[in-house]
Amino acid sequence: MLASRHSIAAIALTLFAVSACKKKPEIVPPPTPAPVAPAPVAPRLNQDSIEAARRAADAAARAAADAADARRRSAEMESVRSAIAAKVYFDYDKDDIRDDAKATLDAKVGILNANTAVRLRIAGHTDSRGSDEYNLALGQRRAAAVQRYLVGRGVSASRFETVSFGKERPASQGENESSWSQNRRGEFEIIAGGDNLRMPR
Amino acid sequence: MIRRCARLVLVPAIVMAAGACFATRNDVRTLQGDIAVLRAENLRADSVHRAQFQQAAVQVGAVSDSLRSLNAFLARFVSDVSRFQGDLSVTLHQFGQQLLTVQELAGQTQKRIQDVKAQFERQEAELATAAQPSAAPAAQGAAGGPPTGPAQLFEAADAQFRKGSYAVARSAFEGFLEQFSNNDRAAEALYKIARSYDLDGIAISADSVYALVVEKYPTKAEFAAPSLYKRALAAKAANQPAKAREYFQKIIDSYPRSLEASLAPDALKALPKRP
Amino acid sequence: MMRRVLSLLSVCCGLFSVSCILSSVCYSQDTTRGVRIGLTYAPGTRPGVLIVPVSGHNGDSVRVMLGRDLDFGDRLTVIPTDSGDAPSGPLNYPVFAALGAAAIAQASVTPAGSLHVVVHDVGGARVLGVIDFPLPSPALGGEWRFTVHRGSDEIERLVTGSRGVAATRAMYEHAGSLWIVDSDGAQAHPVGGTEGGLSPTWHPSGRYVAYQQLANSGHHTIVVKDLTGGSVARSFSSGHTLNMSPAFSPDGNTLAFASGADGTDIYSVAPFGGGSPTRLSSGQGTLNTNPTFSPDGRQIAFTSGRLGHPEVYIMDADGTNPDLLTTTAFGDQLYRSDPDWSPDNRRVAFQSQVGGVFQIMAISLRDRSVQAFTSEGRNTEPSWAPDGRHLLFTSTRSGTAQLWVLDTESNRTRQLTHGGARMGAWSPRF
Repeated sequence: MLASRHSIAAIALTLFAVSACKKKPEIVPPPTPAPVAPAPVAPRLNQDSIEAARRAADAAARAAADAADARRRSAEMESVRSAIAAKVYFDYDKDDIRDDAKATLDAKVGILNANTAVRLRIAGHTDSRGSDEYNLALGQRRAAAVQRYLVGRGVSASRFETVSFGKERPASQGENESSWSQNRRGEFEIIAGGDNLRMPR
Repeated sequence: MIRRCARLVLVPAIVMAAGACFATRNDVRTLQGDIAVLRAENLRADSVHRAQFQQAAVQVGAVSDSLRSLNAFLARFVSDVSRFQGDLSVTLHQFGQQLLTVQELAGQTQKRIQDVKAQFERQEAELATAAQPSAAPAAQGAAGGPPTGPAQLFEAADAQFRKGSYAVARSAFEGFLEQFSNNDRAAEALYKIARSYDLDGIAISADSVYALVVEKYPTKAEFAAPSLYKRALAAKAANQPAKAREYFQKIIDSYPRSLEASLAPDALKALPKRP
Repeated sequence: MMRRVLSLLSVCCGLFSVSCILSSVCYSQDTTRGVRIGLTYAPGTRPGVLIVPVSGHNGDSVRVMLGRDLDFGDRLTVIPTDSGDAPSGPLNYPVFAALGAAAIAQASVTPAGSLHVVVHDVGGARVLGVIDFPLPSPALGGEWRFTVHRGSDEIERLVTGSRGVAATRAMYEHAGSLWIVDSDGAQAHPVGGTEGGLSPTWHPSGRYVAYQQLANSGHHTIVVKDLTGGSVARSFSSGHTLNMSPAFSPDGNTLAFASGADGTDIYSVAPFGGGSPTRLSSGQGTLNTNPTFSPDGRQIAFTSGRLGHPEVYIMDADGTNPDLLTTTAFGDQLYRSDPDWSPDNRRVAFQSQVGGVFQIMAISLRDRSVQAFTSEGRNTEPSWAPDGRHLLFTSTRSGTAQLWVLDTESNRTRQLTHGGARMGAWSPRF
């Protein structure tokens, strides 16, 4: 009985952990009471049912706690993921890391240090104004500039892959400064070690 | 198929021939300007310059002679081309020979024009000196040559080089080196002679002049390093990897800051392994 | 003294007349490319050619195509005439001369299925030449049309001395794939298996193309594809994720491309031989892209950002002697890129920003003078026709990015594609 309760709790916990993106935690079914056979001793039977009820309450409380924990972990993972995916932006025809980008990248450094299995693909993008082909080279240099910054903050270069999309994958379609500035960007994608992300301590 | 090949050869051949005579035409125009200037100067100048003047006139005559022969040849060439197109009677080889002759004639003409130009430069300079009465004899005695000659000669040669008239540039640089072998730009002139062979596809001559650059100007890294690099690539192409390795290594050791030193390590890696 | 001056003057006159003769020789050389079997005509004019109605099966289509090709060739004026029956018997030259025709193209489709063209010199009242090309079936199909284009090129050669470029094609990028279109804008079709293809370039044989292929991961590889077999011949990478803007050497034995992780350099590789790519340029972390070979294969022009902004440079094909080509002052517009070396070795076309917008220009290799060709819309990615006279480029002047063709001598333009296109590459003659 005890074993089965534990295994149910364990299953529930695993479910929560794995399904971090599922917002609605599954309801843990209360342990099915054993088919009640006509009992010979009434006080003993009474005692047993009290005990069973207490255990059921315990399990529910623990499950609720686990669910809350999973929700917290899931929210945490979500914030870690979004910090990793946060884009950085560049000035026209430049690959310098701007001050606003430095804060974005510094946040990634902590996460990368806390999750040493994570490998990132850094993709450089450009706006539509330059030459299509020269832009691919410029995008590559932007990705490399981002990598250089992160390596300068102590992250191993082997944890990155840099690629360029030039102007082939615009984030915004317009032909004006607001679109251009959104398109001159560095994007980040986890290519390995993305499970069980931890918050930096 | 032959017809197709012929046309493939034909187009560059004509372009080259036409290019050569464009250059000549411009030079003649420049020369005419020079002559006009000199004539005006001469009207004012003393009889001292008459002898030189006569000599210049003779040379101009020579230039016009060689232009005439070039012209006649081009006319023949053109009619050959049309016949060639018509009946394919002229072989490609003959065709190439004729083209070489055209280039040769154009080159000779250019060389003559360069000579005349140089002489005009000199005379202009002397006229300018003569215009300063007191300084004139002293200057002539001390300098003994044209003060602006080398720079102008070099520039004239370099201009030909820049516009791709490599044969002409080559002979002009050679003329420069004959007269000013100790000039600051002698190394560059020699290097550009090598390059002119290189860009004309005359590999053996190019290699020997690159060797000369390395030998005579080892301290001029900007010319010695690329010369060594060219020699290394030539050795590699000639299936002499040991020699190529030696040159690449020498670039890295002797000219570590040169552009070629940054290319040499990759080139070394690409060489076939030692037997 | 006076006599000497006179004698000198006479020498000058002699010299001048020689140079006149010479220049006239040069001129005819240049305009007729050495072939003097054609008509003589004044500079800048387009001799009139009249295409009489074409007899035989699909004669009207042949006539329309020939007329369009000769018009697109920009060397001849096609004299419009009514359609009607093909003339029989000897041609009455004075009548055609009165119509302004310097030449007549008398074409027919023979019962055996050949394109037969007799080209007449009206002034000389003689036959200039006869063309006979077997027409492949199906009639009006791609190869059939291409053969008619060959006929157009041959007519142009007979009349002007310069072969036309009607029998050529262009490759370009559209909607994430590579496409091919004929020089007259017909037969546009995608090339299978080229998804993610960018920056196509032709092998001088016309049999292969090279391009860069962008995968969803952002990795770019250079692919050499056999157009006859259709299967991927080979793919190349320098080991970096970015491998881009390929170009074949004129002998077809070298493939240059740009590659790098932090900054790009020019690499070269033997496309059909062994060996891995070797680095040619030494950009030291700067951007170096878009190699293009000189016709003799001994030099490469490319885009480089080594001065802090893109300019066009030339280097020897082994990577030595890099030198700035676009030295001209272009005002404050610090952006020149995408060079293409003309097949006649006279100039290098490129794109340059004017008021923040790209325009097509060419720089002379003789005197470095710059000629601007466009002003309307955004005009990019020039690619020379094999005649060294026409340029293919991408323009937004019609509202969307399309391929356009420019005649650099008359500045006449025409729109080649209508369904959206960029990165056009003009094929060699097949």
